[in-house]
Amino acid sequence: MLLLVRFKIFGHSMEPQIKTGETVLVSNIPYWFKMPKIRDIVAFKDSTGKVLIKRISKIQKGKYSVEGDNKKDSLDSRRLGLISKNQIIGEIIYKL
Amino acid sequence: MRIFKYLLNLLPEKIAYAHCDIPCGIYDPHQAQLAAHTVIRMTQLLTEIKRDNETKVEHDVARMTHVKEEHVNIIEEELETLRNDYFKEEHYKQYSGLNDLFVKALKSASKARQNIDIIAAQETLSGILEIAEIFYKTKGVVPVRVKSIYPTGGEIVVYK
Repeated sequence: MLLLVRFKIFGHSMEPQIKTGETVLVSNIPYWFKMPKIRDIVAFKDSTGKVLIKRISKIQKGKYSVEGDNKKDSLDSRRLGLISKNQIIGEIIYKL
Repeated sequence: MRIFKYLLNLLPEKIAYAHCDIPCGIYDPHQAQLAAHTVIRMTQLLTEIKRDNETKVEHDVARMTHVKEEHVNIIEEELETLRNDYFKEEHYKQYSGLNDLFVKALKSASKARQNIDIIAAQETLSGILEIAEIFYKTKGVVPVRVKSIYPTGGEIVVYK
């Protein structure tokens, strides 16, 4: 169970807020008390098990559409598909 | 605040991707090779530094260490891009040692960042050269090792 993990970020899709090479703290504790909401930045596993970070842009029938902040440089739900809550491993709560 | 950050640094660190969505197709192991040579050079300079002026030494060590850190970051980013975005399952099947090459190069790069360790720096370059050779083969061109023109000596991989 993930309580608090540091993730080093590779890729430019969350710039300018989170740049490649930066480290963030991810925790699932916030989602013990609330559901993920629009504008949350979340870490989640894609279908291959790779961990990605994106911002939740829409919630449709309990599934989450995610996008990068850097719209010209981001893999988003148009290609990823909607993600489910059990794919979300936590919220980005702090940038180191 | 310092204790807070120290404690946070004790947490396990993993990798998360904020991937590019534009499949530009422009991949090249050249940048990783240059960065590996830079890490070797900074390591050499750090071991050769003369301690005749304390202030200047502190200044130079800080700058060299900073450049070494920056270029290990470049190596990590470039290798992760090749590993995750360029190389596909069929490449990993065809070159069964490819993933191990990435793991070893990334581990030695990390060691070269943490220490003044010329062996780790050279092992990083060595792994990157092997990855570069495989990269060029998958592009259908013939990789060639040539002597580098840098003060580090050693080689770089180009293609015919």
